[in-house]
Order: sequence, then structure tokens, then C-alpha cells
Amino acid sequence: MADKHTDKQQNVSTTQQPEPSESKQKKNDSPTKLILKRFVRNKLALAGIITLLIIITVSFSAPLLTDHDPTRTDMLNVNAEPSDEHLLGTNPSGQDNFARLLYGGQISIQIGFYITLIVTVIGVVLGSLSGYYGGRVDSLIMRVTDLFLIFPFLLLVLTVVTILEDTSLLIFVVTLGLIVWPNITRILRGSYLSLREQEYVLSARAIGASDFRIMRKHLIPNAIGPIIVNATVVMAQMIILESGLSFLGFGIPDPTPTWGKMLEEARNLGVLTQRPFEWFPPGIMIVLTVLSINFIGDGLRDAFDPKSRSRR
Amino acid sequence: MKRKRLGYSTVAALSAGLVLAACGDVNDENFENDNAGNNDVNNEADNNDNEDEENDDADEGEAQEGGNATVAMYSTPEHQFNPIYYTSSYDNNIIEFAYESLFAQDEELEFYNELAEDWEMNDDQTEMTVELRDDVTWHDGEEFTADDVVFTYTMIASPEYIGVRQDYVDDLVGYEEFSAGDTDEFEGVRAEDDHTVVFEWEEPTVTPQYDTGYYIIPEHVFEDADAGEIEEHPASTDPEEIVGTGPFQMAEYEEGDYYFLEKYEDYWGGEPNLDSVTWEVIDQSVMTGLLDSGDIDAVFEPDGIEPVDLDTVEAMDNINMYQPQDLGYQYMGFKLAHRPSEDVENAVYDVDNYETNEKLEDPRVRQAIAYGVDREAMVEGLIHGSGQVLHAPFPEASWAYDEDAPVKYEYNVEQAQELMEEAGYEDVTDDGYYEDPDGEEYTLNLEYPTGNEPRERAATVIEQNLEEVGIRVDVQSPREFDAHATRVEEDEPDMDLYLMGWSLASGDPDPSAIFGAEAAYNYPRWYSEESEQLMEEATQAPDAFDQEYRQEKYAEWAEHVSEELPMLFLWSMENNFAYTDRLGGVTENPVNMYKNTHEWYVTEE
Repeated sequence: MADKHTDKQQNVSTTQQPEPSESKQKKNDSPTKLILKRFVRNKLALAGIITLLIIITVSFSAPLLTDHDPTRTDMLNVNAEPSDEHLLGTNPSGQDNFARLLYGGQISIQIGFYITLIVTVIGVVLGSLSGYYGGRVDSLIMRVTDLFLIFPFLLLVLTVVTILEDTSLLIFVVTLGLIVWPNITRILRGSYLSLREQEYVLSARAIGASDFRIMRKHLIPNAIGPIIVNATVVMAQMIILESGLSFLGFGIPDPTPTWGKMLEEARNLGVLTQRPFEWFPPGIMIVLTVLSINFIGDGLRDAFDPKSRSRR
Repeated sequence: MKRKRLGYSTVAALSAGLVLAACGDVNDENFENDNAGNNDVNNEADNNDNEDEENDDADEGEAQEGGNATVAMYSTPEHQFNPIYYTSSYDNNIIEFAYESLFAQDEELEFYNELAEDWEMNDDQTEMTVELRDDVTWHDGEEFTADDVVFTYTMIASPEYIGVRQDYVDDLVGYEEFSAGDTDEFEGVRAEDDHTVVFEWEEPTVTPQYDTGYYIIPEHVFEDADAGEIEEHPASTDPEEIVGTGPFQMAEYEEGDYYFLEKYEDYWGGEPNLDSVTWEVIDQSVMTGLLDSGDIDAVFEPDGIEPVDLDTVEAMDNINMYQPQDLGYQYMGFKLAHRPSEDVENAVYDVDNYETNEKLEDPRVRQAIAYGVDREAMVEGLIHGSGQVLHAPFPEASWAYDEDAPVKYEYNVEQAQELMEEAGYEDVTDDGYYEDPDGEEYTLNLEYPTGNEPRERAATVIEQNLEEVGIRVDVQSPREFDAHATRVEEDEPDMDLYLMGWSLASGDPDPSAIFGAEAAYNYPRWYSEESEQLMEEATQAPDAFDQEYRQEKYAEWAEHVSEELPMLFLWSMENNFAYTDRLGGVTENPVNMYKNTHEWYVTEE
């Protein structure tokens, strides 16, 4: 019993108070609180999170903000100019642009979020296995990631989306999730390689903690920084990727609105030059969302990694 | 009949890339013009601009010796430049400049002699003797002779031929035996002497010039290949190797970017004015801007510029519009039956094997759909009024068009619902959608291709229109045109409804190749004895030599087809061909803008 006790103490001191200098200054703050404090001090990150929250709130309260169905076509009212009825006019199918902007936001954000979720789960599981066990498991998983990484990314995505033909939201998300996971897997494996040699891990193993417990209690909490930072990067990338694919005509099929599909309308010269109200709002929304997420990611990275402060 | 499925086959992705490529060609001088261009685009062309234009007009008008004309299309050709094998409209755009036929059609859709000098039919209307021009040479200097004509038709008829142009030869004498490989000689077409060809039909023919009016390919180039090998022959694909008789010859191309044709100095019609013609592949949405800035000179087939740009173009002074009614049309097909999979594999079309699609078997259901789809609104909203709702497969431009013949289904939701209920459909589950007479869920699958903007948008409109009636339509993700066309051709069992278009580059309205019960192109797999009989009567000699008689027959047929509704005709469009003042000498021809291209000229800037 005594042994176990000391082990726990050692573990606590190494994992949760990784920077002695910080803890000297504010002895009473928990590490989580410290991270939060550092995060809040970062103004860009704070602005990012506020902007993102606003965008999410507005998008998801779409039914309260507009009566229009974003998919409902109206042949007698195509390419309408902005008016009280249609705040941002209508598109060439007579669908209300404002409703499409709001509902499109839901879809675009959801796509980003769900892909990130899938990627993170796959990345954490495979990265953990690979980094913790090493050996054959490691080489197998790493060769598979290599295989995915050597393909030109966009080409692979285009090919898979074309082959699958019926790209519903679910299929789209799962497909991209299955393509994008290797990066995060490699990063996690890297952190595990150094973490697993730490004394507290060795001690935990020595007293007979199961592999699963060691990963859950000791490894993942220490690798959470890179995981979260990577997740934000992936989410921002995926929102852009969705827009890009939609723009190229490979995204979510009609009539579901997304920001990328609204941008696609601007390929026509007339729309581009005379109807900025049609493509400017979704463009701005994409920029704001992606910037916000990136700022949050930067802020989190700095907050998780106290050493990075010196670089500022 | 040069029948092309309305291609638009290149996906949006490609076109997006092509815009960039095309923009890369724009030189500095043209960028300077952009400001003026933007004014025009904004419909704010001010007086200064107009004055400039007028001054320009005064300076212009002098035909320039030589020069280059740039013509734009919005999809990449498939790079099959052999007339007997091409299928897409985009390849045809290039073929038109390089190859010619014995007969061509003029603005009035009347035939005139092209490579033919003279022709006559025998009294039975079964034999045609064609005198050929004796001053025609191929691009490599060889003389054009009767052997080339015989060779071309023999190739299309031969057993190894794997293309789709059998239409032109299958009524000629001896086709069955020759194409089956039973004989070595094709009797239907023979060379009398160097410049005389005789065509012979099994039955009296009403449309001889039409059957004999296909592009001619050179025998001396292809003589060592069999008909199947011609598809891959260098002279079918390599720009330097292509040999025709037309005023321009292919010189080089960059795939998906430009296609460069040089004049053929010894062209029989006289040396072409232009030194060269350049085809550029450019996204349709940017064409208008490039026309205005002078980077391209013309946008012709298919479709011309986008209907949505018409207002913009009308505000430009330097652009000529020519808007002939297109003979083609867009439609929603009803898969009335599917061929069994063995038949699909073996390319067999046998009415007895067709497996009926029960969902669409009842004509009242089809009629209900016709009432339930608001086509007027689509013409207004999707193609901005530059077309008409179509009630039978004869657009206004066709001489077989008869306004009163077909049944017209005006948009009427109640009538659609009445018809559904009459046919035994009922909303048993009270979910707003009809269940079929057995009380089962009733859903129609709709498939459609990408490429053609209005058509893509139509899918959602149709779905929502029918939802109002109470018919559930499951719209599948759109496919690339090629993939979609294959599914339609191969009778994909799940398919109930599909969107497609026909482009008919000929004046003869005989619908049998598309509506004949066992025609490959009869995608709905429609079979009606009455229709078969009417189509046959309409081309039966000797009555059929009288166009009025045929008109009557086609009116009867149009009425029948509109009652039976193997497909819902959506709209026929006007083409929006546009060319700048700089380009002159263009022969405006509704079926073919590329006739007499040797007379094209450009004016000095």
C-alpha cells in the first residue's frame, strides 16, 4: 500500500505540475486554472472564442431568425435583390440566401466538428497503441499512416468522393475522417515515445497497473495539449476543405446549403461583379470562423505549453 | 443525323481549373481593356464608352488578311477526332473545321452540295448516284476520290466497327450480311469511277442526302487499319496526323487548354482568310467578360453563353447575338422498363425481355407528374425565358412542330392529385405522401448529371413540385455526365426518373432512333404499337415524299407520345451564340455555325 501511495504522489508531482517556476509564483492554482489563466490572457484567443461562440449561436438559432426554408426553391423569384423579405436576396434557384447562410453555417461547422471528432478518436487510439507498444504494432500502424501520407491529399479526397458517388453528410464526414487521421496519429505517437519512458510510467507499470490504465491516467492527460491543438487545426482545415470541395462541385449534394456552395455561385461574372451580397457574407463567415479557430488553437498551444511563452 | 447526347460532360472541377489556365493566356494589352469591360458588365456603359465604340466601328470593317480567331467552348473534348468515332459535341467543334461531308444543311435546313457536285435518284428512290467534286484534296495533298466515300461507309458498316453511327448505313443494301461478317463486300455503296459513287437502299428512302451526308475520312490514311483499330489510330488522335478536307487542319493542342488549327491553303473553296483558328476551353461563366475584353471572338455550340448573362451582353455594343431555336431539348425520362442484365451485357434490345417498372406503368401516374411539375416556372426561373416549354419532341424550329397536336399539361396540383387518386394511389399513412394501390410506400428515384446548370437546378425543383402533389422523389447525388449516361443506357434497376438532353444537329424530325421500341437510344424502354406504326408510316415511300403527309403523321405521333408520356419534355432552348464585331464572315446557321469558315475574317483593331 505504501508503495502505491508514493507512486501516486510522484505521478502527481510530475504530470500535473510540470513547471516549477509557475507553481512557485502561484502556489494555490491548479494546473487547469493556470492553463485557463494563460489562455484568457491571450487576447486574440479570447476574441476568437467569443467570435466563434457568436457564429455558432447565430447559426444554430437559424429557425428563430428566419422563416425561410433554405432548400425551398421559388422559380418565380430567382436572383432577387436584397429586400425585407429576402435580406440577402435569393440565388439562381430562388432559395433565400440569408437562410442558406445561417443553415449553411450549421452544416459547415458540424462538418468541421464531426470530422475532427472522428480524426481525434482514431488518432488517439492508433497513436496510443503505436507509441505505447512500439515494435510490430508500431511499424504496422506507421506504415499505414505513411501510405496515407504519401498520397497527394486533395487528389485522394477527390478520388474517394467521386468513387463513393452518394455523398450524404454522414458519408462525407466519415470519408474525410478516415483520410485525415494520420497526422494526429503520428504526433501522438511521438509524444508517447518520450512519455512512456518517464519514471512515473515505469513505476506505474512496476506496480502492475494495466496498459489501459497507464494510457488513460498517465499518458493521455500529458499529451492532451498536442491533441487539442491539433484538433483545432484539423477543424479549421476541414471547414476550408469542405468549402473548397463544394466550390469544385464535390461537396454535399443539393439542396443542402453550405458556405462553400454559396461561394460557388460567384463563379459567374454577373454574380461576382453585381451581386456581392450573395457571396460576400459566406466568404466572411468562413474567414471569421477559420481565423477564430486558429487563434483559439494558438492560444491553447501557448496555454498548454508554458515554454512557448518565451517565444512571444 | 449527327446525334449527340448533350454532353456538358466535364465536371465543374475541371472547368474551374480551366478558368485559371485560360486566364494565364491573357496578355497585358488585354488587361488594360478590363476597366472598360467592367463598365459594360455593370450595365453602366457611359457615353464616352459608346463614342469610343462608334469610332472603333468607323475604323473597323476592313477585312484583315490572315489573323487568328479565337472561339471558346466550356468543356474539354474527349480527344477522339475521328468523325466515325467521336460522340461529344466538344470534339465535333474541332471536327467541323477539319472534315466535310457530301451534303450539308443551310440556314433553311435545306441540303446543299458540299463535297458532292451533283446527285440524282433513280425512279424507285432506292439508288442514288453522286458526282463528286474533282478539285478536292486532302490536307496531305492526296486527291479526294470516290474510294474515300466508299471506304468511310464500309468502315461504319463493318463487323469490327464499335462506334454509334450505324444509323447512316443500316438501311443500305447488304448491311446485314456485311456487318455480320458473312460477306467481304459491302454492296450498299460502290465507286462507279474516280468521282462517282452509288448508294443503294433496300427500301425506297425519303431522306437520301441525310443518310449520305456523313463526314468522309481518307482511305489512304486508314487503309491498313480495320474499323476497330481506327479508333486508336494516330490520325484519329494526334494533331499533326489528322487529315481531312476542311478549310482548317489541326496543328497542335494542349489538353483542356487550347486547340490550334491552321488554314489549309489549297482548300477547294478558296484559301481561307484566316491564318488560324484557336479553340479555347473556358468556363462558361467567364466567357461574357472575355468576349467583352476581346480575348475571345466567339462562343457558339453548344448553347453559347449562359442565359443569365443575356442582359449583360445586350448592354455591350460590340457583340452580335444569334439566337436560333435549338433542335434539341431537355427532358425527364420515365424508366418504363429495364432490360434484364444479360441483355445489357450482350447489348441486346428485345422488347419481349423488357421488365416493366410497375411504379410508372400507369399512364395516369406519368400524367399526374406532368401536371405536377411547373415547367413554365422553370423556363422562367432557370433559363430566364430563353426557351419554351416543350410538349412533344419537336421544338418550334422543326418543321414537324405542330402547336395543337400534343396534349399540354399545364401546371395544376389538384389535377395531378385527382389523377393519382384515380389510379388508386392513396395517402394511407397520412404523412402527406401517396402510398401505392397496395398500400406500400411509393418513392421514385431521380438521377441527374452535373455540368448543365439549369438542369442541375431542375432536379430540386422537380422534387419539391412533386412533394406538393404528394409524390415522394428521392433525388440521388448527381454524377458526372459520362457515369450518368452509362447508368441510363444500362438500365440501372433502381432508376425511375432521370434527367437528360438530346441535341439533334439535323433538320429531319424522324423520331424512330430515339423512340423506336428497340432503339438503343430509347432509354425509357418505351414500347407502343401505335407509335411504331406511325413512325414507320411517316417515312414510308412513296407517301412520305410529301412533307405535308409526314407533318400529319408526326402530328398524330406527337399527340400519341404526349398521352403516353415516355418522358416529360421539359424545355427547348434558344442557343445564345455570341461573337464580337472583330469577327466577320460568319454564316449564321441554326444547326451548324461552322460552315464556310474559310470566309471568316477578322478586322484590324
